[in-house]
Amino acid sequence: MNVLVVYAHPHPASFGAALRDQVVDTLSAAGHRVDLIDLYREGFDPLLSPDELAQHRAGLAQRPTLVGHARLVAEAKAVVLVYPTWWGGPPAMLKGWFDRVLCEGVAYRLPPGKHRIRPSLRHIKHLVVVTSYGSPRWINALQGEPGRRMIRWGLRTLLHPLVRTQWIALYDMDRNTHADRVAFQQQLTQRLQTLGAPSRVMTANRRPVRTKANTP
Amino acid sequence: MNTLVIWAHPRSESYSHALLQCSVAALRRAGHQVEVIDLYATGFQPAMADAEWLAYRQFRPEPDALTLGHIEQVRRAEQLVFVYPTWWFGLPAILKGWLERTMVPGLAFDFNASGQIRGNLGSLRRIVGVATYGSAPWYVHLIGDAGRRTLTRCLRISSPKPWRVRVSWLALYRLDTATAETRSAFLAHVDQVLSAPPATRLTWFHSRLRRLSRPSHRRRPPEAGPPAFPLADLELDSIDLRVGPGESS
Repeated sequence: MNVLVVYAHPHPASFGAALRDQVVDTLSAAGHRVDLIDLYREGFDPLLSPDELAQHRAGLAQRPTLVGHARLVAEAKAVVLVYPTWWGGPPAMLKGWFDRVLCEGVAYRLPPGKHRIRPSLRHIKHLVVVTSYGSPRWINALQGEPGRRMIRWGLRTLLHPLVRTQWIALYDMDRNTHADRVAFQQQLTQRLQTLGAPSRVMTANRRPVRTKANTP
Repeated sequence: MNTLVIWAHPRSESYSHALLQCSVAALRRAGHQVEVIDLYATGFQPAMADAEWLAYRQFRPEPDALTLGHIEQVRRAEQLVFVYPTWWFGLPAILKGWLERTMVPGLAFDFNASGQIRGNLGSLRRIVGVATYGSAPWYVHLIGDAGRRTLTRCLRISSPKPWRVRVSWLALYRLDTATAETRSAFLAHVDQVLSAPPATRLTWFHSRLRRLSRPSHRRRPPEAGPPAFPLADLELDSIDLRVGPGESS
């Protein structure tokens, strides 16, 4: 399965970088083809320029530097986002990537004369978000988890109708201990290894396959 | 009140710019001291750099000269007004980046002895959002309105007394299909709300009651007659359409 990992963190030796490496290693070891977009290392420009906004109907023709990213998005069967949560949501770098790359022709089509967009990322059946929060869970619950709503309910509408999402989050980074982080990383490995496996709902009540061995 | 208006839209021919002008004029008429930050025009860079992040981690932020000026403006402000278009269900990247780089430890929040986060925006009294959405209001509420939550919750609890920070949220939904009358009526609505004198507690309570009884987008039907604000010089057809396609699906 083609997996696209999009990573946004400025510091090369951060916990986020460790998570990125772990995600890439785990998925590669599980036999997936992993493409990594490291937004900071590429020097991605998150600003949607006035020209791009004015000619948004031109799509990629207006944004030639994003063709490579658009191709990776078009080939992906699963998308993994790795980022730290700042002010309730993804960093501006990642939000700018959404703003610029998810343009007409890549993320949606707008038939002439219509106002409702037609999603064109239906081939993405798995969405995984690996993120860390500085504040504890209850503060984020009070804030209403804006980033989680934006990605898990908003951007999800562009993907496959039955897309399976995994939200793998470590809360309270300001105060947690080394042991907490190690436990989180173990959990992360376990959950990533199930990526692409049939869901428990689908397999729970399925009759056993008849073979010669179990046929009476 | 000292008022800081933050505008996050790249084009000055847009409807968003008309909203900015309308808001600033209304706030000045109400007697506020208004400062405006035009994020795109100042060349603000939204992505936090590596060195800046390291300094932030050690609670000794080292902002550049431009951001330092913004920090001083936020420190003075009693009223923060955000004028922005909703892109992909949330804030534009430049406004999100402005929050990240400007609201640094020492200004927006601090940590107490046991490492708990405490709001530090002591002078903040009111947060106003003037937002446009491409989608229908029911859809925006179903998704969860990330931009509004970021500004009215994450930012609001950066005040040491969040319950004293009033929030006014002025939103125009279905911007793509909105007629010139609707847009003009919304401008008049923004003008009316922002030029009103500061509300007493009783009128604040009444406004909450009114909001409960009637949703905001139905509260003020567009009036007949000539529009209060001329819209002829705006690129209504081309601009801000992207707000919609990005939103509605």
